[in-house]
Amino acid sequence: MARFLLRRLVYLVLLVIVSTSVAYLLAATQLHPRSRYEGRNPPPPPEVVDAALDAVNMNDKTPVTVRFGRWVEGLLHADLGLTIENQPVNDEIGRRMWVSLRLLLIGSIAGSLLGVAAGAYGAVKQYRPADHVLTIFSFVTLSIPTVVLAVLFKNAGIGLNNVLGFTGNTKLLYTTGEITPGLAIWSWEGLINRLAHLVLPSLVLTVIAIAFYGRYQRNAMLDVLGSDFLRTAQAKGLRRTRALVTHGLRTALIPMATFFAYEFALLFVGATFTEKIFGWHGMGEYFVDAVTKSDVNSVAGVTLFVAVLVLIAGFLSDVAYAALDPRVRVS
Amino acid sequence: MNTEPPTPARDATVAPAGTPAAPLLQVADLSVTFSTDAGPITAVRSLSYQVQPGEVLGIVGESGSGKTVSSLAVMALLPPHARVSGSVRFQGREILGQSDKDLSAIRGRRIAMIFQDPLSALTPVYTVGDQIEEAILVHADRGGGGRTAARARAIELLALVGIPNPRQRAAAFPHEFSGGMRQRAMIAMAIANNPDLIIADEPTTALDVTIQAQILEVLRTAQQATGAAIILITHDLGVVAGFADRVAVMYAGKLVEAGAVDDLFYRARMPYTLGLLGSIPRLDIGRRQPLTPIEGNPPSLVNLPLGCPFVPRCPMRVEKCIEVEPDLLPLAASGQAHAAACHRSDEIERLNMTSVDVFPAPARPAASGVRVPREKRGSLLDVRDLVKEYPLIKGAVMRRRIGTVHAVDGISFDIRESETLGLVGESGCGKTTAIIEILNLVKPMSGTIVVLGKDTAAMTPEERFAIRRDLQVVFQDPMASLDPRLPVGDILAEPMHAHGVPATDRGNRVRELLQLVGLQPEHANRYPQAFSGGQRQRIGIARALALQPRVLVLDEPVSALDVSIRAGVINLLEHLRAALGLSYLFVAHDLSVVRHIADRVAVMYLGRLVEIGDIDEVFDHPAHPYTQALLSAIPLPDPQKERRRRRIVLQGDLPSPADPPSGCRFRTRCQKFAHELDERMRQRCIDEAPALIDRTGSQDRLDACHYATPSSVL
Repeated sequence: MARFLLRRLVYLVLLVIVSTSVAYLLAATQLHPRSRYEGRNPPPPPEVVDAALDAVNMNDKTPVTVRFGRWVEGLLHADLGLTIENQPVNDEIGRRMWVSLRLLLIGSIAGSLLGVAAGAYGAVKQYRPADHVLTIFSFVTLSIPTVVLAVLFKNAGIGLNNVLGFTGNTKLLYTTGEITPGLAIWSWEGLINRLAHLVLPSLVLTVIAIAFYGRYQRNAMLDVLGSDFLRTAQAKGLRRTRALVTHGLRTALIPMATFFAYEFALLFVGATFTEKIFGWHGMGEYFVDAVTKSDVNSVAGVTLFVAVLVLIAGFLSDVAYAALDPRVRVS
Repeated sequence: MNTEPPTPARDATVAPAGTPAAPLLQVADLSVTFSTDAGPITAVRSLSYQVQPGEVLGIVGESGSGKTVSSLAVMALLPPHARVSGSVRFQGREILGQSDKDLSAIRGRRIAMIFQDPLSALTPVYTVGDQIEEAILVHADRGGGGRTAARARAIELLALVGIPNPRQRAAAFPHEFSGGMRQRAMIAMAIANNPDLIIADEPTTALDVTIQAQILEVLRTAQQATGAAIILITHDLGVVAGFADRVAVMYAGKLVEAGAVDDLFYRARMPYTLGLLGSIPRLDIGRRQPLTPIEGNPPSLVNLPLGCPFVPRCPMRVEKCIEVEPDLLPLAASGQAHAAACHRSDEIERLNMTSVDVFPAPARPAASGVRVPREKRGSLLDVRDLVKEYPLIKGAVMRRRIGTVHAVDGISFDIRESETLGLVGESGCGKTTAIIEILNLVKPMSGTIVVLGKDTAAMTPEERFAIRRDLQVVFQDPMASLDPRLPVGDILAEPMHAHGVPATDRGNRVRELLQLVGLQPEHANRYPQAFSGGQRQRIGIARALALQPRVLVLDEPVSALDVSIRAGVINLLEHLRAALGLSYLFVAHDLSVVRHIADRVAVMYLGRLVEIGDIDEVFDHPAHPYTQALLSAIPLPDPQKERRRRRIVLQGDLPSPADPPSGCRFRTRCQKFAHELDERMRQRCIDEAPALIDRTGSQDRLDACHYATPSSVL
């Protein structure tokens, strides 16, 4: 088993190297950091621009292979290089990943749990009104773009604030940022304020996760519902609900392991639209901004970071699968 | 109970004569209906029966007869969309309509159930021990010893049902158990709370015969340990004959006959029962027995017509049968204990009619070749020392060989003109691998295959193609072996097209073939799904015959068919063999069918032949201990014989063909090795692999046992 995992690891590391290299080369050849300076009025002298670009290893006059070599050399010292604004990419990612985690954690956990519950319930009540309601909810939610959904929730939040009279500086629900500036982070007040900021984006994420996992869990559960072992459990004397949960849902969770492993590894990667619309400065926002700013090192750095997380997710999913399903535990 | 009015004739429940005791289970007028797109299906129709404490009731029926649905209704385990009416009283309490809470107190504690497929019936993610424990704990009183006591009891139960090393095995998951072991675990779970009634739904259908014998033995032990009554649901009349006290026969959702086991087997009074009894090949009779097939198919349960549902297939039907469905009524002579649902049962009783009287048996064709002595007939297929091994590969990325599966390990046999060789053995013995090797027509890993005088090792591709005409195959699963998107005519014409038969001749030949196998020429335009299982198998046979082959390889051709359909296909195969002068290589695990159809039989165990010879000689005087055990394991549909028989029950499961035992491969399970041989004799079995030895000087009867002693086990 250890050897098998080691072999997998080698493969995955190779995959990470290939994908990151491709990402770097694509970014380095397709993005034009020079245009940031050329558009200025008056245009800075070329020497100044070259110097600025050289400082961050993004000068297109340097051959791309040389730039790539420098970047790789930095990588070997665990250095992802500098952003186009001369800040270390390491610091940027190190700060933003926790922002993304804080944003996503509650929504993801709530969404997964509720999604599993909704899916299982829908399957048990197949073709009954409850199942129809859940199905319609899922399809409607999944067919609305996240941007629209996030804006809808944002506006609803603002509306609620207005209706309940929170029109001053203190609001019931906040729609921008992580915390109101100036509050002590670890104070009681600060925590409440954080939560008030989290409610709306978490709701968006939860609703999407319920819709998504609910569909998958419903199908997995339906496969199990007709099974003989569920009948055996009831024939043993288990109450229907208990049999459904301990034997049915337990088995129907197996195919969900992969989803959850990826979801939780990718918590740090962030949710682009939700971050953008609710003004959280997380990883998703970072990546989009990096592309618009032609920030080659940031784009490559985020890609590497995501690739490593995907690698970890792959491992997690294997472990989760083996933990849930004894049939795949091979000696 | 005594104060109740006498049951009206309509509800004539089948009760054993002279039992004043209150019945354990009383099912009255039970009906189950499912709604489908095609209309409501009434799977069970006013079913009534009783079970007394401690007795074994066998419920026999073919697929779709409602036997499983009715037993699930007794447990109130049917899916919610099933509409159930009538009454099921268990120990005087009504079951139907009870709350889930009340039912769960009865299920598993008072009534336990054993299901057919022991793999899917156990939850894959919990250990066997945990699942048995759960069955105990769910009914345990609070503070009744808790988990530790339940664990100990689970291990005790596993030991009782004959699982070796129960303490370790309790920690194993279901997929780590063999089929037989899983069914043992199922039984352990069922008897965990000393139930009063065990419902066993086809408990041995998914298992091999020697394992079936083990499981029936365990079930008997379980009954003795608990004193429970058993409802044994099965399609196998043999299993019922040896196990049940009373038998009820179901057809199209209704009981059509019920009575004591002897009454039913020796004095059946309903044509369907008679037909069933007449259509099973008997292991102890063989070719002398005429098989009386029941024509037609069981009716669709959607919109059943008014009269008796058996009418279209019944040779005794009269006007009244079409108009009025007969009730299950006690027979005049036998009294309350034996009842039949037939307008003419009294007539059958008076004339004491048997299967052959009711169902005209087709004349048995006399095979012309049989009269010529075997050695004068030419050899069509000659297999010498055939070997087929598979590498056992481990690892998905860096593949490496960690062992070898010896699937076929040096088997030799030949088939002469107009001869049927039965190749028998349990699953995993290598019989399918052997025929695939033969059908491949290529040089085997080792040994030779000679087909119609040509060695497959030396064949050119053209010769190989040409010889496929003469060597055709019929597969086991008639559903999977016909392309569902081709009309039957195209299916039959395809081999002719491949071998260049002119298009003008093909149409005629297709019509001819359909008639040959007992179908209508008009059927050529229909698609396979329009046919029943038996008809599809006939189409499979017709396709094999399209090129007028000389040898047919039949891979379990009737094992997927229901009993009443099976006889018709067997008779067809016999007729075709005689009419067309065919030779068959008949691969089967059902020895009764082989006895009926084959001239010679070869018995395989773990990749080797252990015995080969004339069918009657081998079956009447088997020499190899495995052949003896195999024959002994098969239940006979004859209660009196069954009661007298002493069964050889083999120990354990089939060893892995990747790691076969040294010397004689059978020695690890051999009853002779275990009980009859001394230490010195055993050593020979361990050291030296026995060769096939001829003991009669005829070269036609060989066995591979160091200490063979022919003896009769039937």
